[in-house]
Amino acid sequence: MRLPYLILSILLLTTTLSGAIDVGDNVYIIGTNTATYLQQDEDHQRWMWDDLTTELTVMNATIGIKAELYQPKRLKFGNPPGSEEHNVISRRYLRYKDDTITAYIGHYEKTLGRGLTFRSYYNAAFDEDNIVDGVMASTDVMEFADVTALFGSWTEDGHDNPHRARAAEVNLYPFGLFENLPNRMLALKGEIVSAEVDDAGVGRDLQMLGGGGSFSWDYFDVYAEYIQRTGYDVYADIDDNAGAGLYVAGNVYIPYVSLGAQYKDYDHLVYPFSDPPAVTHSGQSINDGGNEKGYMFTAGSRPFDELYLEGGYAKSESEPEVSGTSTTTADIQEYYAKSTFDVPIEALDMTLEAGYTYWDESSLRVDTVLGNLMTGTLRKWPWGKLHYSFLDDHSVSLEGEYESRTLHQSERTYTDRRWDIGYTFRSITGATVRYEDSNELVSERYGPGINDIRKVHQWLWYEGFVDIGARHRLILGYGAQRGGYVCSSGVCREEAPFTGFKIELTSSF
Amino acid sequence: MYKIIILLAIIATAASATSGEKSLPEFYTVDMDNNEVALSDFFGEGPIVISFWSTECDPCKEEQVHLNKLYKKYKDDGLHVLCISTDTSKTVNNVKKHIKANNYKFTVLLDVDNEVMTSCGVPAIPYTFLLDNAGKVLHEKLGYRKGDEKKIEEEIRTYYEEMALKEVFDKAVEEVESGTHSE
Repeated sequence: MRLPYLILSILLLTTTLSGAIDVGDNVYIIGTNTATYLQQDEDHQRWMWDDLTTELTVMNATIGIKAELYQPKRLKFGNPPGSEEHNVISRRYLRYKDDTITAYIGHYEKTLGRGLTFRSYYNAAFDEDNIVDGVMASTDVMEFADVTALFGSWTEDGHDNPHRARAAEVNLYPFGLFENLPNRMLALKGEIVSAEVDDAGVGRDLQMLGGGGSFSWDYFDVYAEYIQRTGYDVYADIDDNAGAGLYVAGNVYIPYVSLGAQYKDYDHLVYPFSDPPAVTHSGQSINDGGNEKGYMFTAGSRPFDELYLEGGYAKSESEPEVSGTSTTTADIQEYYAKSTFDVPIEALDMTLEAGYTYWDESSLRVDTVLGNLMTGTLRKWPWGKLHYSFLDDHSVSLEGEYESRTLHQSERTYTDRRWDIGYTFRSITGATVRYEDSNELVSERYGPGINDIRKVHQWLWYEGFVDIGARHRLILGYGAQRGGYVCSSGVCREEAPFTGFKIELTSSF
Repeated sequence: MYKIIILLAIIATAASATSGEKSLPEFYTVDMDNNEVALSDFFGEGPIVISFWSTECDPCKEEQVHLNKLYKKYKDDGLHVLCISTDTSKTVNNVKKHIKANNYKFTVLLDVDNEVMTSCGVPAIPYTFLLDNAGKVLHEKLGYRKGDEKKIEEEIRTYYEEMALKEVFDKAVEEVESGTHSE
């Protein structure tokens, strides 16, 4: 049976079953399905796209799949590359889980520690699919320890052969030996990884070993992790070159105020299975753990019910990298502040939000022959939102963002703007209009000062939604959408850029 | 042929919208202090509100202001509010800071690898369930817009009224059966 028919038959069967048949105690059929029809994007036409995730659970055992179906409109003279039919079961797994054991065979998401040594994940916002296929088991050892062991592989885009990893983690909870102390207030951990990284068909070995711990209490907590890497250095592409990574985070909580600090020092730590914390508010780092250190301070407070304040400062820099006659260093500096205010007038159900972010990312190359060159971007980004509810059944929202980007190399500035206005009736139906524009400097592709061509991109998007019962949302949209991680109609999700007309049905069952 | 299947699938999903009861499967996760928690730990008292959120989701954080008010209002009547964070290892450090800064009192659980979110059939965030005290789903909602909290409170009140009526009914039946009921 062709995959599309199979997927849709599964969808038909599971939704019918879950809706019409009592499957009994301890048996669950649960999932989500997002079906998009008549979508047309900028590069090529799409006719239908379906994303189904479903799990069948019997007692403690679960079978899960995630299937994707992409059916383009068949063009008369054939479809261009990239727009062919694409149907795949991208996830399949068997899971057993109870209160002491978790085990997976197949695809699984798992993070060891804070991701310095191993992270298997899918990031919808950046379309990063780093899901591992293998076996993973995790078990509690009485009240004072748990152990995780795993192995798996995944194939990176552009590689014919997979990367492979084997890892183990042990967490000890010494306070579990004492009746009067919170069991997990203190945790000590050890991690070990052995990996084989595909390098143009050649497997290169590396190892990681490290540990850390955490202490968590009502008034403060601290987390620290230190890892050493030996063997293949992915960042420098050198065999037998050691690296290391240190991550520390601490928070203090006093009534109505939280203070936090994080520190990172990553030295040739990056490899395909790692995903260490960026230690910036935006989540962006200099080189994902290749060669950078940095810190961040944040503070948040709700001094009274109607007002929330938050702000922070982050700085990251790389160690100088020498190549021939040039030495390059990169750094990031970031400030942000935001506030939320609930208007304290009972008859006026209104919330105001405002914020500002300053982001400066730069790379300085000092070359004794070619001279100095600074590249990078300075971004300034104020934004504001207003949410208003009236007559019990109605709510409106108005959002605005303005971002200016100045390129260090040329000192040229271009701007992005976004306006969003939305209306909802009784939480079951509503509409949104979104306008965005960006005056990109096309000439930067060819060099500064050459053919200064300024191109203005505009996107205008109309969207309406209606909830069908409790479990389904039908969205109709028309116009041009820039794409990215978008919060609209009260939901946050990743949207692909496209133009045209779209119908989308999101279901949970 | 597959157009017919698509159409039937749409009809089936729409049909299942109003039919059939749904319960959430048991799940195991940890709270902000890494203590192990199961869904069934919250059964037996009152209704349970479960909200999936993230520190990077603004509608989620707007909803939490109202969930905290609901919790403070009904916690003595047995209401549990569980806010399950889908923050990954990259942003999980922000969870407790956000909760403590806002002085929220509801229970916060962590779902770093999104396993609980998948098991509960959550397509996007924020997603909110209202369960009875045995895990049966009474209400569920995708997204949050200002005013949605009124619907949840309405459902909670309906649940308490039905429980009160049931208690009166059960007591009357008991009295009749024991012969103590007076006309």
